[in-house]
Amino acid sequence: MGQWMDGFMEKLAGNRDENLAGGGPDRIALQHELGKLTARERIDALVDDGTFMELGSVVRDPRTVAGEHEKPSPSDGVVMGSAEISGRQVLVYATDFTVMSGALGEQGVWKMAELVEMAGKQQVPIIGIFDAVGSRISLTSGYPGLFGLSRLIRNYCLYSGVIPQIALVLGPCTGPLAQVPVLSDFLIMNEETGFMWLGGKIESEDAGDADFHMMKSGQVDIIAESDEDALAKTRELLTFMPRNCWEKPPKIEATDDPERREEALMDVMPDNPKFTYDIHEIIDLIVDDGEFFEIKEDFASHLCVGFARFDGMPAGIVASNPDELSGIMEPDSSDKYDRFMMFLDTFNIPIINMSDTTAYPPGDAWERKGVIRHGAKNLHGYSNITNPKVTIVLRRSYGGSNITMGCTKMGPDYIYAWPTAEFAPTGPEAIVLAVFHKQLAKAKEEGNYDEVYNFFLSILKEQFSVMTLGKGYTGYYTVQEVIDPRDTRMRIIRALRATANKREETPAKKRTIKPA
Amino acid sequence: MGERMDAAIQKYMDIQEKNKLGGGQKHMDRQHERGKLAARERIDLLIDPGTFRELGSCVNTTGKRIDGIVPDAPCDGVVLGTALVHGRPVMIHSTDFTVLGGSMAAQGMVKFGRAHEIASQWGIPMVHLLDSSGGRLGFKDVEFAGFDWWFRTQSRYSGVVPQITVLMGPCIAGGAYLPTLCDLLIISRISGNLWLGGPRQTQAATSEVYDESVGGADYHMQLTGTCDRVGDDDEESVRLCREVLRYLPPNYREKPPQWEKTDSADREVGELVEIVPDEFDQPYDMHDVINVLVDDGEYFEIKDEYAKNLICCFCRFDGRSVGLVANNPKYPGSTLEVNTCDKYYRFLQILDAYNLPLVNLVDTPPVVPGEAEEARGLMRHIGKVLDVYATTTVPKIGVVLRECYADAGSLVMSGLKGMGADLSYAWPIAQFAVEASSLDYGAILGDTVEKDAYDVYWKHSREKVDAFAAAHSWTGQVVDEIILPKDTRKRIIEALEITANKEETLPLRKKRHGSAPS
Repeated sequence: MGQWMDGFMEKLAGNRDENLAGGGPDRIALQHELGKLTARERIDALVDDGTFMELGSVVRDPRTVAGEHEKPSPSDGVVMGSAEISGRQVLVYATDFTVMSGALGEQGVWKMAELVEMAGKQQVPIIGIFDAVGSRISLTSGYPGLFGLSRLIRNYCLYSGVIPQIALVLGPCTGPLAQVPVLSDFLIMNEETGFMWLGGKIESEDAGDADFHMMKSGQVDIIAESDEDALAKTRELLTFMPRNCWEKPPKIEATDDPERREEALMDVMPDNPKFTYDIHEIIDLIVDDGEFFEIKEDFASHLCVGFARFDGMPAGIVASNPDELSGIMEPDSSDKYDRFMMFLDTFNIPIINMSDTTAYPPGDAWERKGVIRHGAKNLHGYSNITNPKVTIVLRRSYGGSNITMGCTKMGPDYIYAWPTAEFAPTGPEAIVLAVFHKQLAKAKEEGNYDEVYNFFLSILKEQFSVMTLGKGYTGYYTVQEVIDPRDTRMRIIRALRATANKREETPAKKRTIKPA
Repeated sequence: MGERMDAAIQKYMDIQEKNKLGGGQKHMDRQHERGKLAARERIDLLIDPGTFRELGSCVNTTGKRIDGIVPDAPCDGVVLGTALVHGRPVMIHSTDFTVLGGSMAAQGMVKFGRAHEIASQWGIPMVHLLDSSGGRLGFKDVEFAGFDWWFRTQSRYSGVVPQITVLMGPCIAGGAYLPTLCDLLIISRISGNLWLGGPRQTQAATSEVYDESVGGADYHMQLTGTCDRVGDDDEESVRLCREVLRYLPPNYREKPPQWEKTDSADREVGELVEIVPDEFDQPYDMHDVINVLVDDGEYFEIKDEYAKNLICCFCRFDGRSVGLVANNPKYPGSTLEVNTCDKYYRFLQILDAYNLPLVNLVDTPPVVPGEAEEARGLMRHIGKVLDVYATTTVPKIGVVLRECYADAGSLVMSGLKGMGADLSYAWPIAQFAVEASSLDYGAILGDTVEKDAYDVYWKHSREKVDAFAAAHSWTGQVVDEIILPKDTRKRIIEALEITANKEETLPLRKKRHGSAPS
């Protein structure tokens, strides 16, 4: 080593030592006491061994540099760099809670903003790990932190639909920074330590925790028991998606028989159509190895969404769940459906819809929540997606479910029905009461109400059956084929193979105008 | 002229004559008794006189009721055609309630569905004048496309040409999606009702009993946020539609229409300093400011009775159509509430789709929405606006009157250039901060945060600085220039002129959308 290097290697080593020390041994000990991993431990647990290449490790808080205070600020509280997960490139950052409570720094926020742009240009997923409370950025002395924060948020928006964006909230995440995990495609939150809040008044004990944001706000996709669990789930989630919008989702070696017929499917449904069943029973029987990676499991659970594989091909499933609220659709399920559907479309992942629902409920309470515009949002969404689309109508396809779940003229690539399927504008019982109210009133007077009611009902039931409606191919209450329920898995796999190279265009425009 | 021609012409004329009465004199009289106008009268109010060219006037129903009855249904209840509005072509679909209650069946539905498709391709706006009892239940009709085909058509052409509904009758079940899929919905107070289930259907399905007070114009304006404007009656509602069409280009490819210049471009607006108090805790009505700023004090407000702390309106600056979005400190609460976000989200999409520049008047009260709003999914609703704002490429001009805080709304109000604002002006009294929140995280998270956190570092983001401190540096990218209040109108007009040919290229996406929050 020549003289020109004198001292520099020591400085570099010193920088590394400072960084490894984070905010100091007390803060690291506290982090572990709280059951949390440090920023660096999290990245190590997330990525393939030895693949993490750090960026911005020499960065420090300008106020520490200027000697305004003594707090250590290694990497200005943001550990970041490139890495591989399951052999595929990603960019990853983690805020360091041991450094000034992870508070957002002038330089740290720029590091994140630039990393998101790099990921956008390099067309690889961006993964953000949040454990940070408050902010250190200011508007005085030319400090660029607020510029950086707005760049960070804007970059997430600009590259939405270009690269997958995944956020983990493994501690607090507050203020405008809390928008970032919500903007991300998927948000995984630690049920013990996660806390996400914009900054308004808090009134209850559980406000802002993982359950709050899963069940109430509908902003969490997956709840994790621990940091390790959250990181493992992130790795698994990534296997369902491509690196960017130009690629197809990765197919893996299948471990289940694509031709498997499932006798058990004949026994899931109760004899009485008014009784319910758990849609998970059907999903588990048709997907590879019974493995279903559910998203937003405890939000609007009457509509079930998540990832699965069919003969090794990833797909997204959107299925009404008759076991919860009879599988209705309403504003919360609309929002859940919309977000998931848009993600699938942007990354070319097929959507499988399974319909058995009475759809959107009428009534004053639902109207006040904007039930119509939320239904319209799903119609609008489904009409504009161009990924492979497969619909299976299981039983009741009433009202808006018929259309929002991708019926014939909504443009699915394949639409199948079990022979039990019924299409109707609303439940046939309600139609008899609404349309034939004069005849029924007369029948009541004449004492033959039941006879008249059943007469009209039987006509309608027959008329609404897919075995009747299926006779017309130009109609809207119809399907391409009525199938044996036992063949459902095989039919879906064939449809996915057939649509693997599909293309579909939408009319040229600047942007759509979507219902809110 | 031969006999055959004579007879054929007579046959045609008879149909035309009969069509004028729709479902017959009795039904026509009842329509008028209800205070409603007939389908063709509504069209006449909307258009430049004598310009209506009907399509499908000889259509009649192909359906049969399940008890065997075949009704007469002139035009199948759908009066359709093109006309001129302010000299520009539009496609109009007017449902005729006198024909079987305006119910929708195969022929009528294909008429307006196909018309919508072709109007979109021609690049002319689509207007629906609706008054329909819904799907023609209990009928067996020719097997053809239904609501689903129509909704898909409407959705896929969303953002191609303006789609407007004027609702002047009931609109139920599947039919209720038609107006909600449109860009703008105007409802007549005396006659319009929008329900997922009408009273009879709802009672049949759930036993709930209600009347027309649910689902009316004011209900959908004030409570559900579905309605954009309320007209007192059919006449005013149709007039509002004619008025709003004037602000919009015929399609996404064209710039908004240039109006005749009727107000002075360099008019000084010194009176604004009397309207806007320099004590920040003193409220004022932002309408008074808008009134002074825009051409002739004329603007067309959207959702004027919903989320009133944010004003969204179309207006003109020196004859140029513009979308203006302003905080209104007259009304309490935060400007980032869920309903406010939904209102802004819709309006901003319209502006970007049809090339209307955005002007923001910024005065964010120092309030961050609390737990009730968080529980409704506050941040995903803010996220919808952030996403559209960031990906909107029309000129975005901000003027900060008083307060401008990032967690209280400035991120989406052109108060921060990093979010993509073209020009951000500030009045000399303006005040800025990163956070308006005064929440004590130390109290919530306890010992896990450092005891001296606020004193050493948190204080920076909560420090409020004045316009001169913000304008002192450009590395912060907050203020482009401090302007005098009296020059506000002039500066906005100049900014619009300078940015009129703006083009911005965003990162390429495979699909037309990202994966935004919902």
